[in-house]
Amino acid sequence: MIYLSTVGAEYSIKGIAKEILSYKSGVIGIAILLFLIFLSIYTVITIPYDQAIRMWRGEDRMWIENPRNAVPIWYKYIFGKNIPENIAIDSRDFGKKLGIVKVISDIPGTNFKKLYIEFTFTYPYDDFPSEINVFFFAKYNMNAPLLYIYWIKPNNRKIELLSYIVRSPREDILYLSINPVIGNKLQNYIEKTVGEESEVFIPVEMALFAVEDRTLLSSLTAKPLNGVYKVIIEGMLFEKDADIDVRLVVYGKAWGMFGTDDLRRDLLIPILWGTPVAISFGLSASLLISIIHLIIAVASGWYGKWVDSLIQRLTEIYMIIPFLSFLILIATFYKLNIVIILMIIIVLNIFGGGIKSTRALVMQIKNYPYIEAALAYGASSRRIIFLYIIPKILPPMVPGLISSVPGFVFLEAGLSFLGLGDPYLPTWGKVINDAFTGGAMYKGYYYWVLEPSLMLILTALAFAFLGFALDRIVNPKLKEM
Amino acid sequence: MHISMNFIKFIVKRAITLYIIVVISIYITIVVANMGGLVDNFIKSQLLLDIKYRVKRDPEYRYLPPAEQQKIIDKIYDLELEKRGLKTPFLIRSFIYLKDALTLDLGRALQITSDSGSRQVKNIILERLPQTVLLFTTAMIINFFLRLFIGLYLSRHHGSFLDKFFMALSPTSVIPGWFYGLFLILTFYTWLHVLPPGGLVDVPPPKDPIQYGLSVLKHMILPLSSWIISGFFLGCYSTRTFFLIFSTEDYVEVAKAKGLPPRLIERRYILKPTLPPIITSFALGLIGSWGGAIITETVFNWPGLGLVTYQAINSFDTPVLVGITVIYAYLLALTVLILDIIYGIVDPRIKVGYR
Amino acid sequence: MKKLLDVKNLYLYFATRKGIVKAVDNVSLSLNKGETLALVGESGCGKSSLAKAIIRLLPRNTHTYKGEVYLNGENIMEYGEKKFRKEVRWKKISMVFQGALNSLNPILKVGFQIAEPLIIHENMSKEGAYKRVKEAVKLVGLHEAFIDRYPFELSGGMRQRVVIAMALVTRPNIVILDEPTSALDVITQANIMNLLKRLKAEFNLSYIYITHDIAVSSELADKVAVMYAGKIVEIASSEIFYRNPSHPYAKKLMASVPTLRSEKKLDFIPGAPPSLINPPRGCRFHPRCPNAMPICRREEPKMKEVEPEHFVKCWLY
Repeated sequence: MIYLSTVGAEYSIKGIAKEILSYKSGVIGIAILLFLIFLSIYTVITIPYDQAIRMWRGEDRMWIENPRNAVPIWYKYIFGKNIPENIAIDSRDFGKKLGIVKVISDIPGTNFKKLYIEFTFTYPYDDFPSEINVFFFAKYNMNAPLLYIYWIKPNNRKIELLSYIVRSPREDILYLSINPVIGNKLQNYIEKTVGEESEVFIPVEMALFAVEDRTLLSSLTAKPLNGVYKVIIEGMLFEKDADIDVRLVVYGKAWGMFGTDDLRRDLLIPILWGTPVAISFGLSASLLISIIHLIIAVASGWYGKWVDSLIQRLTEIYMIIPFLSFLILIATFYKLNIVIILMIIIVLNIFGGGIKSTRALVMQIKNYPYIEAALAYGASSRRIIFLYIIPKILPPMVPGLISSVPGFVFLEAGLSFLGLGDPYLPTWGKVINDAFTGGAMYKGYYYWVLEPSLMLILTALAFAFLGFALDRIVNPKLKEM
Repeated sequence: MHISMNFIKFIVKRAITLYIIVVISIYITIVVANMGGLVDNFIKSQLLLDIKYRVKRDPEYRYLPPAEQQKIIDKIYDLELEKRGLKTPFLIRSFIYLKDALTLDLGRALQITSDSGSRQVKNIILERLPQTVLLFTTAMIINFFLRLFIGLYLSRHHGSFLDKFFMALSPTSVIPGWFYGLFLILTFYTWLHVLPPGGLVDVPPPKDPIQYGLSVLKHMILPLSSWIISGFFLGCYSTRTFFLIFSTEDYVEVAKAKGLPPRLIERRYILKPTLPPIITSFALGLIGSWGGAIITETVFNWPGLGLVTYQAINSFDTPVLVGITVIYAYLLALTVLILDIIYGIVDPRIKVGYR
Repeated sequence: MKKLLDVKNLYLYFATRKGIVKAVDNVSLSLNKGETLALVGESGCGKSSLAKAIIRLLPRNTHTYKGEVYLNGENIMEYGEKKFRKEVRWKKISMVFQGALNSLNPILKVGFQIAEPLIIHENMSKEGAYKRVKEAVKLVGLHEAFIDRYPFELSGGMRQRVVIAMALVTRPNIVILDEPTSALDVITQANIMNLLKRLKAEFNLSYIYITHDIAVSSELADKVAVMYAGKIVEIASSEIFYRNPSHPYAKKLMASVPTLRSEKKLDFIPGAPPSLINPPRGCRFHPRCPNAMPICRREEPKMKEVEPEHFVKCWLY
């Protein structure tokens, strides 16, 4: 900041706390900060770090049952629309839940068995599902089961979707929405039912759930048909011990408190985990750099002469170095994780501008009579520095420390945004980067951009307001104004 | 205007110092970009593999005994090293690169081509530089005058509601320009569809130069706004504080007592002495925002140096990245030098040789 | 003889967070042509505020400003701002501020600053103005080459002289000097005092000399006014005052000045200067006055003319 504080004021923790709270900006800053700290602690406890990283990496098809780019659930209450949510039915729940029928009957005289699975569910939503997938969990040795899948709409029209041979034991996924056979079949079915040709290809989810009239021909007018749906899977098992379970997932368009990204990951993880990451990153960077600045400023101001000149020149060099360019260069060529980024940022800031004012303060104090007196009674340099100088220069540094935290938080976000951040760590900047490259701006996925942005703004403002209040306290001249 | 010998000496000394710093920066860049010579090892081992593979497949050499093959491999390897200049140790080559960079012989890009089809890094950069300068300079000028006038106004009415309002909103300047850019795009493009989300000009670009210019202006609105909004409240508030401090100086009271008209006092006794620190803090902010330009240009797809940087990052195009860093270093040094000169002109203490 | 300056019932109050500061509380005094009035008092008694009140340099938080100030018979309090600025400031009344070190604009040449009022007030051409500037500079004992310097190139004493030259260049009727030598070393102080004396004699100037240092004021003063807590408590000619002041406060002040020759027992005034926000009731000096009487606590004494041109504000008289 612009002024040097008047040396000589006394500070106590309680007094400072009270003073901070006397400023509106201080109250706001502390309030938000406490909330964020609480959030961080909660996050670290409920979702341990390793788990968070694993989940964010999305191994083993962890997220397969989430819809892509789903909006947060509370959108339904804000916008009043009944946005579809996931409907999942599993034949393994036969007997435990309603709406499921599974019958396997032997065919006499053979090793073959007949399979009949029926799912019943209601579709009450105002919009179409985003996707429909069928998961097969088959048990067999050589001969895969053969299945026929039928779809029955509330208007009692039965559509044969396709015949299917399971491709692999254990798990196999049939992506109904992108299956061309089903797509064509449905297209023909609709054109016959409605009696008109359609100019565009009607998406599978729409065809399977829409009201069957002319409105179906355009995605702008198509309406979902609410009611009871049935899915029937009939087929043959060709081995004595063969078995198969089926799971139908009708993907909604809303999920969770924060929605999902294009890789189906629940945004809860990066939003929550971004908090401790951002705060610790910002604070560590700020703290470490401040400490280094302190050491350098004291060395420069106290020892003077050539030490001072050298440090001055180094500071000037640092000012001219295109800091971000270097950071980008290094980030591009070397594998990075967040700790290394932190180290690099610190190194690149070592001889930064904040040193000047602190050094000036040190020089000011150096000339005070009581320092001369201390030298006279034989105090060592170390004693003077630690006992007299440092306590006097610490308070003015605190507002700067706090106020520079948002800068580092945004620096990390900016790097992540450029794709240079830690690729495995769930941070807000990474989410914004994903959103940007995932076309959120064009497709209107506001939540994807706004959620991390709001968190960033909140964090930045918390520290900014707090730093502002601290600055008014420590710099009495500012108080008058 | 009486310019002392001292001043000229001072400027020359500064220029030399700055040049040395530029040289150091560029050297560090070269070392970093080449991973201190490690890239050499990669290239060499890759080369060896390539040659081995080629020789083993070549019908001419295929059936030779392994010893013979090895001799041929070694010979070709040696030749290649010589051809590519990889025989000289990295340390020496780094200085050759340094000399090239300093003379702005920036080599050829690996992937990127300029719009005119050239692979020369120099051309690529020169092509994109004007756009960056356009955006940057306009923002700079608008910012400077906005802050000056509003700061002056606020200082005259300090304590008023408007003053407190600006003070309360100062923390919003912590948020960088590119971040505001995201919101601006969301609002004016995604939601309202009134402004383009990026780029320099409409596609296809209008043939008429006036229409072209207007189109560019339309595309400049959002990036400019994001920069201006970011630094607005704190910037105005800082200049206002500067003015306040300076208007409470004793000599301002004396000027009033002398019966000088208020406008003259403002101009000569408040504005003029305040100019040096305002210019300094402004220039420091400028230098600091070179970096933010990269991200802003990426957000807005603005075809300037920043965007090229981003593209070079994504395609690992070393020569381009090094070239851009070199240019940035030079630009920064130039800015600082110009700043020192302006400072010297405006503040007579420096002009006359006061140090 | 018509009075040059006649101040009648001047008030200047400031509004602050802690209350209303009554810096100038019903002050009346007068000055004749060629006279020097020394205005003495402790720090914080309102002397500088009085000076600023006369020349109308009011801060933003002014609460009350009223009274009559007659300059050559005309009430300048009635002048509009523009008229005041054009006709009174520096033309008729100029001022040398406390701390000349910061009285000069650091980025303007010294000569220019001296010439400014000439160019503004008397519409002089640059050549004409600079001619006068050179005269003024020579008058104060500086070489005329100095007009091309910047303030930081001059020493403290030189700057003081420049400021004095600046105050004189428009040949004003009255020059108010607010502690002009308190920031200087003793030798320079003496030099400046001699300069002021010389100029007064040569040009028949009228000074209002504000100081807390009685000893120094005695060199120049024809009349002495003592200020305490925003009020004038005694006005007398210098002969009468320096030999035998009437007001108890003035007596104490004189008693605290060391003399070179005789054996004097130095006295001091107990207590602290009163606050201008909540001054004591009745006579403002009564908490520290050795002669305090019951009436002093209740009622404020009126200014009485105990001798011709000798006024005292005390219940003793």
